Amino acid sequence: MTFQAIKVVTKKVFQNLLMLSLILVIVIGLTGIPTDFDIHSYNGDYKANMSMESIMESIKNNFKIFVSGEAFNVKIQGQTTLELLTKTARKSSAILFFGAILAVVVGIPKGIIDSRKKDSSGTIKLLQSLIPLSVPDILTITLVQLLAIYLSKNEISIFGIGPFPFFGDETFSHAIYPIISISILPAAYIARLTANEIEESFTKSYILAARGKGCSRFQIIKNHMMKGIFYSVLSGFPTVIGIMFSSLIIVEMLFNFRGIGFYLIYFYTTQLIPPYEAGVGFSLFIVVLALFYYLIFMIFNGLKEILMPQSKSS
Amino acid sequence: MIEVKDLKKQFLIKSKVLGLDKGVVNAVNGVDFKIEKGETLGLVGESGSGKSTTGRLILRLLEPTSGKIYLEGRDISTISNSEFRKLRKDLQIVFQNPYSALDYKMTIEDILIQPLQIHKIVKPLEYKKEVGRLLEMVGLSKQDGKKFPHEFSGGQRQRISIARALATRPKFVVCDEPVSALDVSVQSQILNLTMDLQDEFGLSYLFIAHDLSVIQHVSDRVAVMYLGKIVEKGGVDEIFTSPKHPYTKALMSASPLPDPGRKQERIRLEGEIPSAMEALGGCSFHNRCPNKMAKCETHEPKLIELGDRLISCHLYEEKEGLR
Repeated sequence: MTFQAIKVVTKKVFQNLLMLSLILVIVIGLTGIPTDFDIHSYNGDYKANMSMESIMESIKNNFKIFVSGEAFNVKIQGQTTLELLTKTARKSSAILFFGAILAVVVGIPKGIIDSRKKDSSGTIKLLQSLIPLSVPDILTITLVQLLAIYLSKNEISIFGIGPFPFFGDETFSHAIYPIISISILPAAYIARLTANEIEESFTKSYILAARGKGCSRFQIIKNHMMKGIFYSVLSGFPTVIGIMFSSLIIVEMLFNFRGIGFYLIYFYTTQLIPPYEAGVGFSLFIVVLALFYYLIFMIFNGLKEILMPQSKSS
Repeated sequence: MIEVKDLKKQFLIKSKVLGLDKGVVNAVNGVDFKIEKGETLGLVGESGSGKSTTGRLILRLLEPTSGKIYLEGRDISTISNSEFRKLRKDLQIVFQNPYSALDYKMTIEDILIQPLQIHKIVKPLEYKKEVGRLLEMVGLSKQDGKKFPHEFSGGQRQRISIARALATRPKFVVCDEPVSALDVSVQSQILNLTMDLQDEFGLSYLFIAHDLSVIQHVSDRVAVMYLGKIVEKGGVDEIFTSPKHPYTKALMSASPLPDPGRKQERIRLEGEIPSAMEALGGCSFHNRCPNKMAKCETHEPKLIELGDRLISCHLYEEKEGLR
């Protein structure tokens, strides 16, 4: 590795660490605001239920809790926050990981099918990808849940598989619907990326030359476009991860799948946990979620830098 | 070898908002020609005259709107795409830009093996040997097969494009401005290479260019295109020494002479080549023609024989009639 390369890598790592620290400071600061903080309207005037000093004190305490490591040892319903975090993180990671794989496995072939513009059913195929991207994710996920309930109530199985449970998180089969739900939007996004890449590539001279050589459409996509599609999906993956993280809370809440997203809402809304413990739990989970997202984001950006020829040359 | 009859290509222009039809571009408007075995037909004209579209129509990289294309007497304009894929072995193309014509993600060896695989030109065990032979044929070394396109200069890449086109041992090659993106010093090497290969393998070329000196150097016969139509066609010496059509004359007068002592009168055409969407009545050249007559605005001239050449101009119809 040359000195120049070391310099570039060091600079990138430093920039990312700085960005990550900034994000953590903002997240810890914001989550330090007490969960029972509220602003009331009284005779046309707005009044906060606590003073600015007490909010700042709470934020300061939040930083102290994190710096001292106390945030990991607070007991919630008989277990420490760290134990709860490990358990829930495993569940959320499973649906995020398998959801991402499903999105790629479904999205790329769907994009290849969508890219056949001349086909008379082209508009319908395009709409199949555009509709999930246009409607609110909660609607898409609710529709999956309704389907899941319908299949389960009527004991309908598909190809002899199922019906799967649509509520809870005891076994892996409980994760099937959350995985499907979380992968719909990213699959639609990947399908659009793939279709756009193929449509753009078909105008390039080397693709025309490949047609001239006698390559079939399948051979052209396999031999000349797959790498381009891979690069395109890779560069779009940070967005895909963003979509998945934003859907995570809805998916886990609707399917009662007790992962990080579920507990974030639970800590904020439950009356069963005292406000201090709930506040610490909420802060810790959201910090871990931010950290987790940023790490995955960095990994994919790094992969893009290493693998994509355009990025290398630039 | 190759015969084209009344070949037409129209592109529909659609509005961006509702996708409604806005008009039609007549990119190629009734082209006829024939190319014999071992012959080169030079296709010349301004940018936008339909030269490249004609080449791509013959290879069915674009689907013709109407007209017939015959390869060795067989009509290939209406056969199915899967059937035509088998015929692509005999019909190849060399593109204008060698920088975009090669897939940057593949090694030269992979690029050259692909047509060998598709058309089963040689046995799989002989692929590497054949790639070496093709590279040596175009003046490169066997070792170059392991490299990627970006490791070559423009001229070398065009040699690779030629090797790729010849990998299937074709009978007919469309050379779509193969030297216009190259330095002048490299142009002559590529032109000589194409001509040597033609002599060796008895190839037929449709050589598309806007550089008249290139056309004069490589062609046996020349066809001059204007707004999707052939306006004059004949032997290369005939067309270059005594052009008849006003457009051909203007085109020739714009070409610089290699002898600085010789002077030639420059015919300056007024205005730009009209849009192929605007349907001009009569002769398509009448709005720029220095010899325009009243008839030119209303009647479309037919391609008539004038000696050994074909010409589409009312000026010569009249002369023919007087004879």
